Amino acid sequence: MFAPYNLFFIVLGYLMLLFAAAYYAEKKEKTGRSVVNNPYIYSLSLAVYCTSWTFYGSVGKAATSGLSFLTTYLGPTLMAAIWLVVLKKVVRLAKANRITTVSDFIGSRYGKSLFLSALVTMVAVVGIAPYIGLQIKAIISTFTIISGETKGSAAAGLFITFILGIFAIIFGARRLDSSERHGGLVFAIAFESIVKLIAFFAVGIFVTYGLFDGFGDIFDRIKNSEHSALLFLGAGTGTHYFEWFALLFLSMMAIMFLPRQFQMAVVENYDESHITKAAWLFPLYLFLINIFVLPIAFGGLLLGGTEKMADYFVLTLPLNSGEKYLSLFVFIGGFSAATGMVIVEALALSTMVMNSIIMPTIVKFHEAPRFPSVVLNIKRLVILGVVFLGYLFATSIGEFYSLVDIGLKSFEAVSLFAPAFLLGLYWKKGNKTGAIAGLSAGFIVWFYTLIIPAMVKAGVIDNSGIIAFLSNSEMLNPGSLFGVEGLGKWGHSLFWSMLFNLMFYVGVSVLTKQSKEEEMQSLIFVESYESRKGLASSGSFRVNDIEGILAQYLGRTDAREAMQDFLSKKNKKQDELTAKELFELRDEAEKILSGAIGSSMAAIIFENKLVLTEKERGELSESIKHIAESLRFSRQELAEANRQLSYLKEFSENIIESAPVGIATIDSLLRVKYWNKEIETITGIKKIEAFNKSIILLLPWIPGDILLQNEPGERSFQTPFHKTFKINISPFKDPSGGYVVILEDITEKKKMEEQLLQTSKLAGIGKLTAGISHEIGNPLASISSLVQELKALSSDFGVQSSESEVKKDDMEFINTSLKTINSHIERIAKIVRSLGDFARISSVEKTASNISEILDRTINLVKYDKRFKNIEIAAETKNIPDVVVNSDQIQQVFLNLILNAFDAMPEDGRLNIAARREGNFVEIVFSDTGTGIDESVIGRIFDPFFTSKPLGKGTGLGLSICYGIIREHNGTITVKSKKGKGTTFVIRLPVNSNV
Amino acid sequence: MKNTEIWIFIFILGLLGLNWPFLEVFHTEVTTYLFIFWLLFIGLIAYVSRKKLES
Repeated sequence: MFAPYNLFFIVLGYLMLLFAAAYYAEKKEKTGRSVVNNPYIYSLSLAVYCTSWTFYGSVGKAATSGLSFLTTYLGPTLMAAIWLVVLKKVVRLAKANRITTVSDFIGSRYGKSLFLSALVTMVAVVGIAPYIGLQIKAIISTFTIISGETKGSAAAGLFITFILGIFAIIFGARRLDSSERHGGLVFAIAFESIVKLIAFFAVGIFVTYGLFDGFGDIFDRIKNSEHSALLFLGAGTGTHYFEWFALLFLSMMAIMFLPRQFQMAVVENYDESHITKAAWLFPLYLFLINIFVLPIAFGGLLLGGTEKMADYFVLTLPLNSGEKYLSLFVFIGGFSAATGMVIVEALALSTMVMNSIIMPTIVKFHEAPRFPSVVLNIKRLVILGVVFLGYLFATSIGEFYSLVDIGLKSFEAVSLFAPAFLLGLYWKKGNKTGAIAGLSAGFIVWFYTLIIPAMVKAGVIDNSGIIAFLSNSEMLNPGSLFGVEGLGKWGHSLFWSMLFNLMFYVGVSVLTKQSKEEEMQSLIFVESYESRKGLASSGSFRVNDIEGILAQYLGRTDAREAMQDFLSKKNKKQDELTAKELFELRDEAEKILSGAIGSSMAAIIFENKLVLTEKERGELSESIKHIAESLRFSRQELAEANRQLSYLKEFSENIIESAPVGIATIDSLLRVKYWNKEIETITGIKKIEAFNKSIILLLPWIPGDILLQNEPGERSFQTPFHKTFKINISPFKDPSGGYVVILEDITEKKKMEEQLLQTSKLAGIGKLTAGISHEIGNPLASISSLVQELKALSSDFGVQSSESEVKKDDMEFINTSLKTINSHIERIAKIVRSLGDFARISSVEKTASNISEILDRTINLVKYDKRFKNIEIAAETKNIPDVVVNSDQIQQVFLNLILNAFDAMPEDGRLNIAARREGNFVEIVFSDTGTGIDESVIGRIFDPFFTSKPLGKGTGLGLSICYGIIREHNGTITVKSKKGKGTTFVIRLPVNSNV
Repeated sequence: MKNTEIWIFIFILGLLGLNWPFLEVFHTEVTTYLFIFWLLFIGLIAYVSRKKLES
């Protein structure tokens, strides 16, 4: 046990730590390095949902009703799934209209209705004040348990309540503008969320593994005990399925409409994108904090604890086991859970009370001196008032109810906002009268079915007279209204209050008409239509008027600052603003004032102060009608455009996905943003694996330089695993940068091209062979005749008796003949070697080669052809640098062109071949004096299978192959020809080719 | 499916999974079922929001 004063100082120390954390966050924020502006702190701040109800009450509920406590956390988890739809919209609307509370949101949606806003505030105060009381009750009770004496607990509770109020004032009400974020407060709440989670884990591990032998042990024992029903749901257990559903529904609504949740999720939201992460991080937090609830509850029961004391098993189990410091840590955890709720709820409720109830009352004194600071101080007093209202509840009727009982009553109260809030977001016809009727009806039923029985139970009202009559009535019994039974306590109240609420809201909305203001607000909320910019073209007010109004409520400095902000945003001086901009300024000022005193009051103030002339009112009304009408048409057009857009999107995605080439898009940092199916097949890398990864890491074999150049490029390359790809990269025209990458596997195509090339080469050889056979035949005939002669001479030598007798003439003949034979053989060998060299399969490599040498080799090959004896070939080469080419392929091009030239000159003629350097290119010109090409077909001569030769004389592939080879070398081949005047082919190959 | 439709589908999936008759189906091991379903549901939200963020 701890002495009360020691405990009090420990608590005070913890509160100082909280102050320090909040101060640190605010200081960081001022230096522009916010520690709050991230999804993790946002998610942790949402855990303000987990109050002392979670920390102590869940265990109590689990020990008395079994699994139903889980609904409180499963509901928000379900709701988180649609946060990205609903909460995002709410945040967007609240930010655009500077809405700071649930009451302001509902009031604003229904024509900025002050009455509705006040009604919502009253329901919230009545519903939530006991909930604050429940937290203070938990603080006082646990203080008593851990200190071991009741003396001083209430006083300590009172003092702690006061400190919590001060904390809420310091970090939540330093300025009047409630729409500003409170970074320090958010950080402190996030810090508390971590403390309570760790504390709960600590006690959970202690009970599960310290007092028992793990989960299995506890669950086995409870199964075999009298409490085994706690492990089940449905008939015969503590929780019926309808009750389960009702509790689930209540907690789903609570996470959206509890004022503190609205404050944290909407007002304190820095960035909409944080919601995306919070949608799973927050439910994960709820999951974690609930892991040990059942073991602690069952552990407490198994160790002899009673259901009545179950709310505090979390604290009593370690305390009774002598774990003094663990108990203290658990107490701090529970204290964190309670304080976080009290601070934020007090802040949110005080803003609601200020904006909807107090401001409308005191606004008439706005001309009083120091009015803004008076308003701010009133707000501070309201915060203290809300906190002390909770304290009063805790010390009076709080002890009659369990923590969960009080909490669920609050949940039911805020659920009453659901129809007006949620339907108001998506149903334009819902109007103010309907919302007021629905909310009032729901509130009456809630009060009748839940609060009156509670007050009777607490002894606040006597069960006599009319109350006794109603309780005994068959139709009006609060516990079984209209004789309906079997829904459970919570299910019963929820069913009837929600039914009446919905019935009145929808029914009255359908039967009554909306005002113009309501119509406009419903457009803003349902269609997300953005403000009234440009509605009217004239206005009879000035900047000073607007500033004057703001100054009355916010103070001169803040008003001046707001005007300066607007003018600097527009980059204009005060007297340069147009009428339209003045309207925008008025709108902006109204929003700023909304942040301070609520949208309904702000609207009234601006309406009264900046009175429009009759003409302007008429114009405004016409504009609203016109816009509403246009919006109706626009919506239809938008829907149609949306359909077409979806179709086009699907269509283009289909094209990209079905394309037989790999397509990827990358951003300016070369990270993959799109990856189609074919590229998955080519690379073997799945879309999900590729997304957001660097393409250089994914496909390291892509030539890096092509990715770095900022212009379209195409390149073929071979990978280390012998695949050939063609890559095409085009930069996006979009200023944000990025590229489209098209990758094509051309391995098969390349093989076929090589085969085609070889076939074409062999065809050329075939063509040459007829002519060359004569060139080989002549020396062979000469060799044969010489050999015959030598043979005859050899026979003569046999007849003669001695060598001396061999004639000198014969010896000379033999020598000459042998030389001749040798010369012929060398000539034949040369021809055969030339043919062989040409016929061999080409390599694919490109090397620095001398074009003159390739040309000489080709001319040598054709000059043996007897058919070309009458054709004069004149070759001239001048200062040609080496060019990186595949010499075999280039030789084939030359050979094809020369053979074509020969075909064009069947009798005789001249072929001029000139090679020279032209800038960064080597130009090779083949010019013949042949028959020329008809102009009508010259455009098609490079087409595959096109030939101008007679049938059977040509395949039509020669020139097309030449074209392909030269293109692959990044060169060009062009032709000029005139019928009867000869043909000229010009080949240009780049000198510095890096292919 | 559109973004909104996916989230509403997940929400309905959760609502069905956490109510009768599914709870009755897993009646004998309802505690285990609830915790496993809860964790899987959180995982599903995390997975879908990550995918949506990427796309």
